[in-house]
Amino acid sequence: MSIVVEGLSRSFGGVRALDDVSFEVASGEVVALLGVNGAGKTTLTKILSTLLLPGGGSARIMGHDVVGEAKACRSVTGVVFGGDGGLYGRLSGRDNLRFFAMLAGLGRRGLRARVDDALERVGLGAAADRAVQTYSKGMRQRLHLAVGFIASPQVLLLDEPTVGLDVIEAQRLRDTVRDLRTSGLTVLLTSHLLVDVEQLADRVLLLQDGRIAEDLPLASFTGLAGYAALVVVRGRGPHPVPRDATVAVDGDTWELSLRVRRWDASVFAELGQELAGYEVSDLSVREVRLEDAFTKLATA
Amino acid sequence: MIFFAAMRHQMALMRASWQFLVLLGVLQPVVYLLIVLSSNPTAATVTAVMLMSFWGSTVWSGAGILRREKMEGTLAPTMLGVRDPRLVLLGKTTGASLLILVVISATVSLFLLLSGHAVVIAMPFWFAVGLALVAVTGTAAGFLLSCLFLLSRYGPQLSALAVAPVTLLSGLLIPVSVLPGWIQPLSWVINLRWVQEFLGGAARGAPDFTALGLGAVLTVVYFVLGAVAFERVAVLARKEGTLDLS
Repeated sequence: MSIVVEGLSRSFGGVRALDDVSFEVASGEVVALLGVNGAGKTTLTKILSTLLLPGGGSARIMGHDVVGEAKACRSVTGVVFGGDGGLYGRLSGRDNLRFFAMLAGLGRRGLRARVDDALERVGLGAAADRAVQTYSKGMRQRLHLAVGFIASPQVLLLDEPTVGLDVIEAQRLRDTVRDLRTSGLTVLLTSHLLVDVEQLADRVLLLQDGRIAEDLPLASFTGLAGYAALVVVRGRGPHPVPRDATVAVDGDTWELSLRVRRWDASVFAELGQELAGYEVSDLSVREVRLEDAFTKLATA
Repeated sequence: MIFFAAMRHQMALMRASWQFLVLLGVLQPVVYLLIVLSSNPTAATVTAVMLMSFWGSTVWSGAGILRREKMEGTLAPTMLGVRDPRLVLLGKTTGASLLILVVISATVSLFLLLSGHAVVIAMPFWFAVGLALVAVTGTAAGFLLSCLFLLSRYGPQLSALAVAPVTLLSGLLIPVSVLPGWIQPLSWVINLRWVQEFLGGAARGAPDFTALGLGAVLTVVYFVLGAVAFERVAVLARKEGTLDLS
């Protein structure tokens, strides 16, 4: 196991941020940590990165205790910070990466090639010698990612890697993380963007009020929404009233929302029968997403 | 290796913020020199100008390193490295001290040359030794203050407060002997005072090796206190989670 967390707890003043949290992450696995603001995600990430001491319990990274063997933990862990800070704005991307690489334990030998390779890998080769303060948010975030993996860690902690990025930049970052997976890297991902989780994670941990509320493979987690697809039908005049559907009427028009437990030809045929004789102007089907399951669980 | 990497890194950072370097390393000593040039400058006054400029710069550059790193979010990644962060900080404060001392020395020399004032240094070798010690004392003071200022949220205010009293207690403005008797013992623990006495002596041809020794011992004490303070900062930060991830 790459990460083993047992009975981890941590309080700030009277507020319990983590309460008896236990889970394991296997080597090469990508696990997403989900939860609303204040659920304890950042606290857990900070403890695993050795920036914060736990109040109780234990956490081990590649067998090293995060309290007693912090240095050993750091030698096998890369941490990618979200946000605008964490880089030297007046220095170039190359100088930043070189310095952080040396902090991560890399020697001068072969450093230049390694830095160049990492910069190319995150698409910053052409901008390597520009001051970081001239970088876009996406470029900074890619540099953060390069800082995280330059020393070839075995475990990568990704804290909100795509926060504030546009769609293209976010996808580019996800692609880079996906590439990193091929080398067997274990990733613990924290993100509010569920598309990150859907594209990258094998498993989802849901933190609620500092406790692990769910620990499931991605597909099973999505299933917690309780339905497979949402069918929305719009029409005019009299409206049908199928079971388990909600209908919103606005004057002469109506909108029917139906959550179906499976979505296949038989359901489509049944729906056709239900709607026969009614004036339907539009029909749309959206497969259930992680967001639906997360919203249901988080607001439960 | 990380010590030298951190040193070069800090120098690169300061060169990138060249306006700051010009303000502290050029304008500051020039202003002081313009004031002392109203009388005929002696080696002692020129030494005092250099040390005053150096101390003022140390407070704003070396001593502010950790606080700036925290503000910019680079302290957390530094602490997460496998290298000893104390070595990193030491390298950075050394880089800051060396660069600022070189710029101040160059400014003062050039200014005296251009203004036609000749300052005679009776014992140049010992004066050079004293200058080297200045760099080390500045590093030690910067190292210690950087850690202490990080313990308080009022770091910038404390920085401002540190400049004038130390300048007075070091005897850079007026001799320590004319300070009130009860305050003079405070100057004993300020390494800059002893370095100033040694430099002045070397310039006059009578270097005070006791002052040199005391300056060196105090500098070592500053380093030790700095290392202890840093450890305290690190433990507190891990206990309270004050090193942000972003």
